[in-house]
Amino acid sequence: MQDPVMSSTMAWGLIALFSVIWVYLGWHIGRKSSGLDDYMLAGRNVGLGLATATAMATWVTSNTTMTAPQLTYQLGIWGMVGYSLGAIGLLLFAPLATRIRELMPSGYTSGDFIRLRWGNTAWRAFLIISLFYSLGWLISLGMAGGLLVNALTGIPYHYGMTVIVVVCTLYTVFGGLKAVIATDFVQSILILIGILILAGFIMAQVGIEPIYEALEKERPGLLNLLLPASIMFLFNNLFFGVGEIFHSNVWWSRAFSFAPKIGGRAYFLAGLFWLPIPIVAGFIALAAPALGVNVPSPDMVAPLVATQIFGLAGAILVFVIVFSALASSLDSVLAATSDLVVRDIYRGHIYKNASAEHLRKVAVWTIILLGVMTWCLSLPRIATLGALLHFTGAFVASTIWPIAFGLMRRKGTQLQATAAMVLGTLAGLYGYFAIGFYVAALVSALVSGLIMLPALFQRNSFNWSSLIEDQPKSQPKSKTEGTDQ
Amino acid sequence: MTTLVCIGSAEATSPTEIALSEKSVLTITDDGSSAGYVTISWAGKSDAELKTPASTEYQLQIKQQSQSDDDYKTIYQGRDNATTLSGLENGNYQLRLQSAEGVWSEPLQISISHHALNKALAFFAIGLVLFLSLLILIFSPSHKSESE
Repeated sequence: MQDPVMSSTMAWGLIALFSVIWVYLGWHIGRKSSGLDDYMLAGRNVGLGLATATAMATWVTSNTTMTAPQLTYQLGIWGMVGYSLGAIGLLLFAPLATRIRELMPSGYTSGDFIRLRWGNTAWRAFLIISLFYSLGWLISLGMAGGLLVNALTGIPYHYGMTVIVVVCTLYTVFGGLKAVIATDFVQSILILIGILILAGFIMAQVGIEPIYEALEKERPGLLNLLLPASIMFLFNNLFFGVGEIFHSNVWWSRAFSFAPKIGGRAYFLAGLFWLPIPIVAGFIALAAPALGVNVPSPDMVAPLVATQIFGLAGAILVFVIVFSALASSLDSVLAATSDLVVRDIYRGHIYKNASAEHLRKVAVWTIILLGVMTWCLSLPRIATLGALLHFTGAFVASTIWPIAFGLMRRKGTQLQATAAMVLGTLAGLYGYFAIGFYVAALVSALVSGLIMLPALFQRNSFNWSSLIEDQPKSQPKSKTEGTDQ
Repeated sequence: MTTLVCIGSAEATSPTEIALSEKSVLTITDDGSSAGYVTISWAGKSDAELKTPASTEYQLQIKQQSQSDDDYKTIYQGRDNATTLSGLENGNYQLRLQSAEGVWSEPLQISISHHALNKALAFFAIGLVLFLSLLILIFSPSHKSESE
C-alpha cells in the first residue's frame, strides 16, 4: 500500500471531532424523546426536509462510496451505471411508502406487515432473511470503516473499525430514530458537498481525455459496453437495490415515522439526489490507470485515487465523506434492526404482553447487543466489501414480489409468499455460486416472481383492514405502545 | 465465483508468508476470470519492513501464454504485495514476480473466459421483463378499484 498521507494524530483528531458531534447530537435529542413511538419512530411526524435527507443519507452507504468504485474498476462503465440503478429502489418505494402509511397507520415494522398479510410461516422466513441481511450490512459498514481509516492514516484496521462501531452505537442508544434522522441531515449535507468538490477536482486536475486514453490503452475491456458480466450486472443491481429497500425495516420504519403524505415525495426526491452519487464515485476509479495507481484491493480504489491526486486534502475530504456515509447508514441499520428484533422477535415470540416502557428498555439493550455483534463479526474481515454485499442479494431480492404483491393486490396465498421467499433465496444462492455475484439477485427475483405469478389469476381473498392490528389492552402499570399512537 | 478471502490491505501477512518472500508465490485472491478481472497477491514483507527503501520493491510482469519470455511486460513495480487486473480480454495469461531479492517466482497461469454474450443478453432480457412487470404491478390502478 502507499504510505498513509494523513498522520495518525490528525486522523484521531478528525475522528474525535466527528464522534463528539454525533454523540452530542444523539444525547441532546435523546433527552427530548419520550415513549416508545418517539424512540422507535421519531414520533411519526417527520417533515419533508428531514425525511428526504435521512432517506438519501442512509442509502449513501460505504458501499456507495467504496463499492461503486470497486465495481467500476472490475466491471467498467456498466458497473458504474448499474450501481446507480440502486436509485430505482428509492423511486419505486415512494408509492409503496404512501400506501404503507395508509394501510398501516399504527404499524411498526416490515415484519408486522408480513405477519398480518402472509401469516406466521412467511413471517419467520422473512425475519431470517431480513436479519441475515441486516447483519451483513452492519458488518460491511464496520469493515469499511476499518479499511478506510487504515488506508488513509495507517491506523490499524481494528482500531478504526472499533471507533466507528462504538460511536454510532452510542448515539443511536441515546437518541433512537430521532437522533438517527437528525445526524443523517447533517451527514447528507457533508456527503453531497464533499462528493461535488471531489468530482470537480478530478475533472480539473486530471480531465476526461487522459482518463479515456489510459483506459483505452491499458484496460480497454472497462470501456466495452458489451462486456457480458457487466450486462448481467445491470438489472441484477437494480433488483438487489429494490429488494434491499422493499424488505428492510430501515425503510419501513421511515415510512411509519414520516408525517402522513410525506413518504412518497421524500423517497422520490431522495432517489433523484442519490442517482448521480455512484456515477461520481465510480468515475474516481476510472482515473486509477491514468494516474498509475496500483490497486491491491479493489474496494479501496477510491481512497487510493483521491489521496494520489490531492494528497492530504484529498485524504481529509474522502475521510469526511465516507465517515459521514458510514455513520448515516450504521446508525439507521442499528435502529431499524433493533426495532425488528424488539417488535417481531421479543414481543412477537417471547413476551407478548410487554409494556411500552419495557420494550423501550429492551430496544436500548438490543442496539448495544447489535453493536457488539457487529464489532465481533467485523474483526476477522471475512470478505471483500463487494463479495459480502452481493451475497445478501440472493436473500433480499426474493422478498420483492411478496411485498409488492401484498401491498398492491388482495390476491395470493400464504404458501405462495413463503415459497417465493425460500425458493427464491435458494435459487439466488445457486446463481451466486454457479455463475457469479452479478446474477444472484436477478435469479432470486425471477424464481420468486414465477412463484407469485399464478396469484394474478386467483380471486381477491384479503381484507385490507386486517393490516390494522388490534391494539393490546392498556397495561395496569404502564401504557402500551398502542395507546401511544 | 468470488472467493471469500481477506484481501483488504497489504498488512495481512503471516510470519510463514514472510519467510517465503525470497522466492515469492503468486496467488489469486479474487477470481473474476469470467468477468475479466482478477486480484493477485504475493507473500511479502510486513508493513514495518515496507518502510525499508529500495530493497523491498517487487516487479510484476505479464504476457500471453503463447508469447515468449521476451514479451513479458511490467505491469507493476513497487512495494505493495497485491494488485488487481481488470478489463482483461479472453485468453491465457502468465504472470511472474521478481522479489526484493531479485529472484523470479514460478509463473502463475490465469485463464480469462468471459460469459457468452448471448447468455448475458438473456439475463438482460429477463431483468427487463421483470422490471416492467414490477412497474405494472406498482403503478397500475387496479388495486385502487379493489374494495379497501
